[in-house]
Amino acid sequence: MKCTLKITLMLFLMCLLPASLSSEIISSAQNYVPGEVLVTPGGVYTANTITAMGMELMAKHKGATRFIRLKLKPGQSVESAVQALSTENWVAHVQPNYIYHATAVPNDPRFAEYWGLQNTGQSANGATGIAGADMSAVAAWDETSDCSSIVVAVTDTGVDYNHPDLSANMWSNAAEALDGADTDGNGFVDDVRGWDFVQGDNDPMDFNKHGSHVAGTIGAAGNNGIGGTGVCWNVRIMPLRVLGSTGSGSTAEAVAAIDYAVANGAKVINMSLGGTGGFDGDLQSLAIGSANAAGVLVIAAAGNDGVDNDVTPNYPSSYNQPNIIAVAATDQNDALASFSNWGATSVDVGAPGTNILSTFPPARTPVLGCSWNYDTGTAIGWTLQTWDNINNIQVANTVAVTNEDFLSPAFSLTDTPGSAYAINSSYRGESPACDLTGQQGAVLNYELNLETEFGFDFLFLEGSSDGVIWNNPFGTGVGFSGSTLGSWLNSSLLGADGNLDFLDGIATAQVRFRLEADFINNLDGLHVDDVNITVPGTVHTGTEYHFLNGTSMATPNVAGVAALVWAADPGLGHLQVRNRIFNNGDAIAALAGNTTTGRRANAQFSMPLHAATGLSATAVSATQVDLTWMDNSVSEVNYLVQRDSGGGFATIATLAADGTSYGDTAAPVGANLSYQIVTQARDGRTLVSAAVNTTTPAPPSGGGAGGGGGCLIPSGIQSGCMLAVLGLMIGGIALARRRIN
Amino acid sequence: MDRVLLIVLLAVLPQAGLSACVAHEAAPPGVETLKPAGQSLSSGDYIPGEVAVRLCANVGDEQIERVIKQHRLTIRKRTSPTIVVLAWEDRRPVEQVAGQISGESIFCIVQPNYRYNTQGGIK
Repeated sequence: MKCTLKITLMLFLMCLLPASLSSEIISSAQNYVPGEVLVTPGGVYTANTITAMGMELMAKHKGATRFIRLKLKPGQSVESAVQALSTENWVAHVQPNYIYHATAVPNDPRFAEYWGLQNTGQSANGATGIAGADMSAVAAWDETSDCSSIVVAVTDTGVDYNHPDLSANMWSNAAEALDGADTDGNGFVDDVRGWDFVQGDNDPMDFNKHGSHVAGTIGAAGNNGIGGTGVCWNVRIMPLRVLGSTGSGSTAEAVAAIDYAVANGAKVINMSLGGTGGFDGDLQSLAIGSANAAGVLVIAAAGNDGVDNDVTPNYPSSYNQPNIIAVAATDQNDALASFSNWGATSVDVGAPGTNILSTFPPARTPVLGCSWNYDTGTAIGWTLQTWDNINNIQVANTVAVTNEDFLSPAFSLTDTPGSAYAINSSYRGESPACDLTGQQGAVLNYELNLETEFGFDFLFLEGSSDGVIWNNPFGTGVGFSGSTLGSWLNSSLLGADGNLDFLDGIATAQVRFRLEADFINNLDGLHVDDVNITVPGTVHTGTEYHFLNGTSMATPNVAGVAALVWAADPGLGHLQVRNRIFNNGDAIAALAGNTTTGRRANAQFSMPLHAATGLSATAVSATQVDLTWMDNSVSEVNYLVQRDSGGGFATIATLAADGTSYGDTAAPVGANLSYQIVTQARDGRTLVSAAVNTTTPAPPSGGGAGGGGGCLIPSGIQSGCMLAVLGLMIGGIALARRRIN
Repeated sequence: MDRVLLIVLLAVLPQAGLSACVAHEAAPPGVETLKPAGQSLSSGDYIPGEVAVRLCANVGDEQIERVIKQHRLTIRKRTSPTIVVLAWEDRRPVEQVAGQISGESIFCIVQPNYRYNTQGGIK
């Protein structure tokens, strides 16, 4: 009974509060359990009280916020039950049983390595960083992870549309048919899954790796139990191949792809590519301008040269078009990546771009009969020639296999074993014919040890289908010049694999190394070893995930965020989506002064804002009103609690994000009060909840409760009364103790 | 990695035979490029021996053939109905060819065919 004595006054006060004070605004989103409500008793009730209303007591919950859970009569809506119960004088508070979702962490087994989405300080590719230096994707996914309403064009090396983590999220052109005709009249025949602008066909398969990696960052299928996940778990990736097998392309492919993307429904174009060539008003700039007119965003890599784009522009990211988001790369510590370009006026935001795990095509494999390592000490089947360039005649050949230098044991091919090449000479090593029938995406890979007069003596790599006409995969007249300083360099690491896709399907494909020397300064020349023509693998083993670095990797992170924002808030215009990303990123020191925003993209805070709902105001004492509400946003940075006691709403408290309750312990006594909750976003967006009213009781006359006045302890809380009262009426407890003492 | 910097891909003049590589006439990329009238100039990496053009509306194949033959050009590729890469085998620099054909009414834009590369893959 000690407990009863202590709370006599408090219970009296509670009895004075009409149940109708517990106003309730029910969310129209139906995010609550149907057929049941939660009630905080404020007076006497029995089982009969409940059954008389056609309801059933499901459970009693004890603790700091004790309540009972009622099952409604069949067919009764939650709304009507709340209305009915709110008029009962034994009910202090009633509300729907709101549904809370678990934080949306996908079940993909390698998700933990995706630090850009969620950085816990974990190791990724052997490197660790700072927890929180990420895009807060997990929190954003509580809003949505589904971007399936958004088409994102990936203008790149193609996409491995057969990858198990990508295939479900590929765009398809529903208006086109595989019938050998341009069914949809868009100028491209049978473009059912995008287009290959490099080879001019309808197969945008990735023969490199880059485009598949980029696509996976945007939208590898999430929560499918395999591999990793993209920023979007579901999305429609439109693969547009504009870069060849070695990752190089030109204006002509890029512009055609932008035009295609805009004409065929893309809302976001990812351009993880760049170069120094371009100017405002050129073809690509105008195409992006047309995309802007069509409401399409272009997300472009700032470049990997470690330079200031304000000084040395990198295109397309440096075009002056409002729909371009130029992206720098940040690392796991929220520092600017060492390779990343920047620009106070030309680069917009940063995004994770180091140690980025994503999808790859199957590993490339050498074509049978198209590999030469000279390890027998001979160049079997090779045609070796030396020419006098002055007289344009063939002379005694010196090109040969040698053991003076090699990578694989114990020989390599060289121009002049044991000595420097001669001036005014041409040295040629032509491979035997190899069969590329049925192959696509052929690439020449080799090991190189070179010393030529820089800028004057050149090594050219060439390919031919007939041994007569030789084509240079790097462009007419483009060759190597300089020195590897005696070291062997792999062409892949050198970025100098030869794109031989012009030999795809050729049964008599040949490659040639040709060293051209001018009239002065002869040096050691060429050593080449381990020459291979490779083609893409086709079998997925489940291991096709790799780490890459680059602003190319940062760019699709932003493209994914753009798709997320747009999917969650489809009414936005493209520049509003851009501004969401610009204004809601995390301000980090490394980007301050190096980008237009100084921010790293943050998916969570770019999400839509929703007003608080279900605001309930309960006067629990003469001076305290308890407020509860539903937190419906992932993007709020704080809540403002506002009270109107007659002179208009004024902020009485600022709460941190995720708040759902507040106790106004300074409420005016005996006053009619209104409350509302203002939800605030990082970029200044605000939304105001519906207001609710309550009245604080006047101080009791006579100075006491008179022994309780027939107000009994609610039967459901007797055993836990102290806990219950502690939770509800802290101010009252202090008063009660004074009375007892 | 410093060693990598010492070997680079450079462009020499388009070759019309073996002698093209011999003379000290190498013209690495980076020269100023021709732009449409009224546009600012820039420089950058482009593919030698090519220009990219956007065809004006309603240009027939016969018109294209006639014009490019007149200027000793060939169609290297047509990446879309309106975007065409024109090429030549002689030694004319891009600026010269672009200047010659920019006055043709069938071409709405003529410019160097700039080269672009992936911005990823760094190990």
